[in-house]
Amino acid sequence: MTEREWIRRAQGGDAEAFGALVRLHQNGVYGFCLRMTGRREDALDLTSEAFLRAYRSLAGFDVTQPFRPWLLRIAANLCRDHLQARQKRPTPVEDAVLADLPDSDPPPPGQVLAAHDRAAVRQAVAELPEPYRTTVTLHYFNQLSYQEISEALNIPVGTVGTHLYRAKRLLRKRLVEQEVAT
Amino acid sequence: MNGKGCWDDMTLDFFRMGLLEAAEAEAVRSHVQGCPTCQARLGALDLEDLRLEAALALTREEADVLMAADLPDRLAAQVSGGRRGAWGLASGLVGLGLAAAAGLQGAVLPWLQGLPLGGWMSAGHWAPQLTSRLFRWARSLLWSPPESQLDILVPLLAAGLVIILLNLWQRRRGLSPFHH
Ligand SMILES: [Zn+2]
Repeated sequence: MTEREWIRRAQGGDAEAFGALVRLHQNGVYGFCLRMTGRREDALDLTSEAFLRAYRSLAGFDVTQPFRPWLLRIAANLCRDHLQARQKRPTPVEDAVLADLPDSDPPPPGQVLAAHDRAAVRQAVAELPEPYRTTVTLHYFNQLSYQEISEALNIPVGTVGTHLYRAKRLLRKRLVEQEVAT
Repeated sequence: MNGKGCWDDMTLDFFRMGLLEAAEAEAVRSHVQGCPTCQARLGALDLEDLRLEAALALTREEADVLMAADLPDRLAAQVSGGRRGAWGLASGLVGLGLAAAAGLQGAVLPWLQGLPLGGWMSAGHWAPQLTSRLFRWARSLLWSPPESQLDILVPLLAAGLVIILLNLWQRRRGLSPFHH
């Protein structure tokens, strides 16, 4: 059975078909939530909530559209709300503020991530400002295209590129600082 | 662009991502073809992407945690429970409505009074009686005159409310599988 058929059946209230969709996408949604929050319990809760929200909104989903970016959009919104509540910072960080982050002579592209182990890279990603972390995770973990990220997050595709470029600059910088500190 | 005509990091990264306008992309492409430095820079960026992907991939241990949570079955059970809850709520409301109608029609009390309670233990005796009583009750619902029977109506309404509240409680309790 294809994903589209599972979706159609779940739209009709078929719980088994919904379970099949969860099985198909749980790694992607859970991994996304885990990389966003850095906590397994939070990631499991958010993954469940994302799927339940998707089920409740499924009637309005157009089956001719790709399902994965739609589902990840729900997860991204949940993670953003969760992180904001956790940081007790009610307003999201604006792009303008992020653009002004200190950016003095970062290491050259491609030269830094090579020297670090996966845990250090994951930690550095987890410390990125929220919009950059979302874009990086959707692209490098969920393998969404720039266009799909643009649609999922409702931002222009050029902004996706800018987020990725700036995120990588921050990552290189952070990892070099860590190396100096240790 | 620097003295050698090399493009800045951002332009090079956007070129790699395919996010440049056609004319600019062509200019970068023709430069990179003849510039070993920029070819190396592009290669380093590609390698960096691969390392990021590898670093972010789920580890075996993380995947095991997810498998142990058994989300597909738990969530499927939860949504089917939600549907059963909705049906229960609907049937509770229907029962409440029927109880109100029956009480208002004054059909319930006469029916209960007429039951052969002395013969409860012998099914052969009360089963046919109950059947004919049900038939007459249904018939009487149609044309018996309205009569105040609050002592029957109130307990029936309360029972209907209890059914509805129990359903609501069950639905609320089932919101998240990780909050016991
Ligand atoms: Zn060059």
